[in-house]
Amino acid sequence: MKARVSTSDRWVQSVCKMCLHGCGIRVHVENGIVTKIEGDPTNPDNLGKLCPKGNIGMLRLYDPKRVKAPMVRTNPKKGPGEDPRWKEISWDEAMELVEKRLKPIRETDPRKLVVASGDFQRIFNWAWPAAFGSPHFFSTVGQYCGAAYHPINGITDTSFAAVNDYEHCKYWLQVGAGDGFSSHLHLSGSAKRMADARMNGMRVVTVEPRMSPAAAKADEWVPIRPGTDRAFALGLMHSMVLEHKLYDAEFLRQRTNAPYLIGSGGTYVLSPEGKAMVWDSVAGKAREWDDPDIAELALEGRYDVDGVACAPGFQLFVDILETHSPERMEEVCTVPAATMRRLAYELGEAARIGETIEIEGKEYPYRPAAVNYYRGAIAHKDGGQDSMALKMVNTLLGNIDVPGGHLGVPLDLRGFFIEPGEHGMLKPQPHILHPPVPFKFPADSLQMMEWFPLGMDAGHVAVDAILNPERYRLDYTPEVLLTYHSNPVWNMPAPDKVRRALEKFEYIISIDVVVNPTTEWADLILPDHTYLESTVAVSLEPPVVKGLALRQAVVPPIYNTRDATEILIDIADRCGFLDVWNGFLSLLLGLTVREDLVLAPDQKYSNEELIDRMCRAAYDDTHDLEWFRANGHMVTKRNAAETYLPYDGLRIPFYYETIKAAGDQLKAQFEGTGYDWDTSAYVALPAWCDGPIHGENPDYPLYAITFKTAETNFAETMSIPVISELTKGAAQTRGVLLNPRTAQRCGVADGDPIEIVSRFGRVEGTAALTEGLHPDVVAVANAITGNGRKLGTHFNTLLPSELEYTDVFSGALESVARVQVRKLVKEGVA
Amino acid sequence: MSATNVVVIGRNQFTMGYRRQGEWSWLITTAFFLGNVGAGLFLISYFNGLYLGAGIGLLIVGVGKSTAHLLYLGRPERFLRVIVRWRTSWISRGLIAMGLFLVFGVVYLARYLQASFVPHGVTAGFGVAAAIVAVVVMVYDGFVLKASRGTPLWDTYLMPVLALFYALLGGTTLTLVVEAGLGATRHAQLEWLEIALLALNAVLVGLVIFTAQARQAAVQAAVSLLTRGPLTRLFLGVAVGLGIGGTLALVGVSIATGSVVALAIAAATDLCGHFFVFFSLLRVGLHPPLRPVSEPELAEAVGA
Amino acid sequence: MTRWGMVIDLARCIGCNACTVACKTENGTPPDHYWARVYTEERGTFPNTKITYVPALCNHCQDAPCVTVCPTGASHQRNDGIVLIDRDKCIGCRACMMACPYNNRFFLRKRALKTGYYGERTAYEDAKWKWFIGGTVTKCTFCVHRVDKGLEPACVVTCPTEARVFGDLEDPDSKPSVMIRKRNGKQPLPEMGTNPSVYYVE
Repeated sequence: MKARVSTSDRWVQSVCKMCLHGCGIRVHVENGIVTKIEGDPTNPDNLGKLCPKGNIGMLRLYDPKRVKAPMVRTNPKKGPGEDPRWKEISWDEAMELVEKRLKPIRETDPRKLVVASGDFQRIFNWAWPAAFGSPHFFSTVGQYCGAAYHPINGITDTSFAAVNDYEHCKYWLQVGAGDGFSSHLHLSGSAKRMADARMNGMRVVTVEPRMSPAAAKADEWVPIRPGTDRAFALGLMHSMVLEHKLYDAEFLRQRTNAPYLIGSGGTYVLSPEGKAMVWDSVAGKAREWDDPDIAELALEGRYDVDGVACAPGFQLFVDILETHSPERMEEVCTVPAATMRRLAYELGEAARIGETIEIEGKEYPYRPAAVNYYRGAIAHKDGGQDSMALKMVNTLLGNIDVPGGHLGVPLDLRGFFIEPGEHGMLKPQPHILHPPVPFKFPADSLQMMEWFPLGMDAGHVAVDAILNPERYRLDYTPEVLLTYHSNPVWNMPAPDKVRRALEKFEYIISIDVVVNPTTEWADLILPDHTYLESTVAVSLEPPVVKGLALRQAVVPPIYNTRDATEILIDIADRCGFLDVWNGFLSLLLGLTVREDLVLAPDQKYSNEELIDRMCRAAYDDTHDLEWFRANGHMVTKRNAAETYLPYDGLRIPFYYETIKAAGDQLKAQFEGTGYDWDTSAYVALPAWCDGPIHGENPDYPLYAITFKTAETNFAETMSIPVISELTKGAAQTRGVLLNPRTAQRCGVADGDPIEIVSRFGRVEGTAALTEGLHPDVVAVANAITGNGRKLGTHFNTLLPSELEYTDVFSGALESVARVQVRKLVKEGVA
Repeated sequence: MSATNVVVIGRNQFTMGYRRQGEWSWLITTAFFLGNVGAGLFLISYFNGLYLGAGIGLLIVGVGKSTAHLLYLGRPERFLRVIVRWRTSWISRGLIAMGLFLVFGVVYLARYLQASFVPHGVTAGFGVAAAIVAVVVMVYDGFVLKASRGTPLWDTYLMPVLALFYALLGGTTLTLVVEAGLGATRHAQLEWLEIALLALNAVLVGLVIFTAQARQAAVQAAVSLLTRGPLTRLFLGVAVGLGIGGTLALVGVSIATGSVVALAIAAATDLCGHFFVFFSLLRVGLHPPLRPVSEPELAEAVGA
Repeated sequence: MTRWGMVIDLARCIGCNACTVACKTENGTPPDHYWARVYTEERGTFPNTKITYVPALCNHCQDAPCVTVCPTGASHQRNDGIVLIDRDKCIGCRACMMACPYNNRFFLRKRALKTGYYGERTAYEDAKWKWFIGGTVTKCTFCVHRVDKGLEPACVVTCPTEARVFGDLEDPDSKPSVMIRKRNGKQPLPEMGTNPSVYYVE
């Protein structure tokens, strides 16, 4: 397969990669130059719409500051301000250098290689370190966004993400999320669906500290103190359950484990046959959950089953709610109790509990009211509980995966992973990105993945471990770091610690398209193609639709770059594990469905051959790479059967017994090691408790938050001058946002230079005053955290990376910092 | 409304609010100023039969004003194109007037330049014609401002009136200076004209300020920048205080004592004031916000 | 006769700036040139704050002050209402910038074309900037090159929320005409007497 010859004027269908998703695009190529990018109107995902980032993708391609050839550092001194004195070398020389470093490690102790990956569209390459034998993850994979979200989604309904039903929802309570307005899950199509829904009369209520677009466009904005969304959810549920009695008891009885009896240990009460028990309130006795004679399942009450005191999971939650009155929660989250009560009523009423709807010839429950939440609400020290609490509002409303409600969004075209689990439950899938890592002490992985049975790889723990090997009982020393489309200095908390960790590596190799604050530390840079020069089939968390779309080389590579997939294959070959990697790839690309598509162990395949097989495996031989090149995509709208209750007949958790049980098991595993590992975060039901950022703090009175706007995503986006010029002038991103009264208290005026200081770091910025901000809050847009090449008002500098601030269940990091703000007085100026 | 309530949004800032025009500044003020005083000098000198003054007036317009304009234009090589839209554009009309002024003026001065082949009747006729187009040169920039609908402060007939009377004032000042320079007898009536014009201009500037209350919010906002904002010192101090007040006092001294020095300083303060009156008015040219604040909101802002 | 116009739905707009950037790439506008852009309007005080995103572009006024004041005829209006600048006639006097109440015109400094967005010109800028002549004034063309081919302006096509609706205002049944009628469309700054071809609905 040869690179296509450019004609003078053509439009090419492809997939965007200006954020981690992948909207359909059509690219205009005139005389070999990409001159315009538009949304692909044939793609039902984004329907021809395209966000600002997608529109400007050609400047990623033509950025004169791209890495144009393999480069080796000639200045042995590293660090900020140190010129690496790059020298261009040939690919052969570069790959020999890699082989020289990695082959001995691979042959002796592969753990000495540490990898940081961030290439979301080629997510299969994330498994490359595992094939090498390196268990590490040295980057963030959702510590500020989805770490607490994905496991709860996966445990609840095997989905990766989740979003409310744009088509049928009528009351949308948005908590700390950008869905439909500024970010997350294929923004362009989501924004279109959200706008249509709003114009069709859907009510939107947005709960968040800052008046983001989601709040500005909402029918009601409910400002909240950062990091207290769980308190809001608990106050709301208190009112729903105990005051308004507005919840879907039938749903809870028939489709969840809410009636399952829970013993004092927090796990199911089991029958002698090992089956979960329920209480039949008509018969007045406990029965196995699947006993056909059950007359009515009790949700409430306290029972004694063969001498074991127990209660349905629902009752245990009611017990918790009793102590979480709206008044008590108001003190925590600042949302007035009366507002919580009103919203609870509105939400419960709008859910139309008991009603059904017929779609595509099948009758479903109709619950057109739902809570939609994301990182703002859950990227906290107790993120798992935050995520659980907000999910449970939906479970109470009976709206999980039903029309109008809160819908699971699968990771890719594989859809939901539906397997029956124990006790009539849907089998939980907390790990959708990679299989669970069995417990081991001491752990092999720097991020201690062996100690996170349900959570996500917490890259910041790896930093902590490199700096404090004895604390984590490391019995080896990492030697080489490979960063692959990843920028840990920017994307991880406490960059000073990240830099100190980087100093520990003997050698750093970076695969990337531009130089950034991390590649600055590299000894060797291997330049990848940009997304407009390379080919891969993509299907990543699209809500509403499914199917592969082809991101294809729209123009031939303009510099001496190589496809990252081929670079990694080449390294595997040189280091002697090509057979292992080919085995992984066969699985990851879905080739094992057809024997003839499975990769031969010792053959080096080109990227295009792999993508061709991937397409044929997903569909058939007609739908090969050439077909996709000509036709763009196979994306279609998910039908009702795939969307609504696809696991009909299996129960989902109300009581998160899986989490409690996993915590108990982990605790048992640590016994005898003498090692103190906190397992208290493994709870089956959420409750409020103050975390390290809550409460009065006279030294650091304010709460610093960060947020994303539609114009920006990665640090890489900010290196595009059109975006940086635009965001400098846009209201949300023109500076560090402060409420005018807060600013006045701090002696700060609009446009003043300021410093923001937390216990962990200090950053400088420019004050921008807005009435659209909670007075307790300082808001830092990611657009001002750096220009892609240098750090700016770098929010993560304010954050810690200690376990004390990490949710040890999910891996989420507390993403709110307590800070003080001062007017910056330049030294030497009176 | 105090200027602290007027949020002027910077270039490439995407918040809603007033925006200051940033394009017409020193060079355009210089061109307007030189057009005013050059044509004014010609006119006053013409009526006083002062050929040297008229000649200098022509030079100021022909060399000074033209140069300032050409330096300002984005594509100066295309400047002749401006004559085509005289039906609607005051810039067109101004340039045509300038051209005619230079031609008529030179012919008028032929006799003075001892080009005796031009008959006396012709030069006299061209003198009248030159004087008439000189008036157009004096006022057209006021009409250019008046036609700038996007900058409501300027969108008033006060602008051409102000241009006319400042031009007459500048012309008078310079005529006095030329006369003094020639050591000729000083015309007392010119000095009294100077005083009258200063007083009249003070009234006109006052009208621009005080009529703002009755005009659009954008005008009020612009005026507040002049009187209670960043340009107050320049506008009230230099342009009005020194330019009108100071000049009045110095001309008074000059009349009382016959001091040439006082007259020279008065000329300097007058021209300086003249320049900065127009400079200030240009600099506070505010475009209104795309969606103006409503009356109640404005009242709240003013009350605050 | 056709009169091209646009209705901007402020209820739909989420201020994402897709239009701003799509305009920049469709027309290849140099730095500091924002033919299309979105203003953020903030009113009230916390917690009773109201934020509205207000997209803006040339209003293609039927009584266009920019055309009246232009001394060379560079600014002109087509029969279909589109106001354009003939870059070969413009002398860069900028009187039109003073006359436009909407701040919709941009002066292109010659040096801006030399350096480009990165301090050196890219292949993209070389391809796109053939259009531009330094020292002249530029502005939104309603994507006349697209409209003449039967396409909608780039800002309309890309808008994720479909907040921009383009069509013929003379045709009472066109989408914008119906929207203006049904939702009480308002022209910006009517007191300026410019009769814009762009309307806003809330």
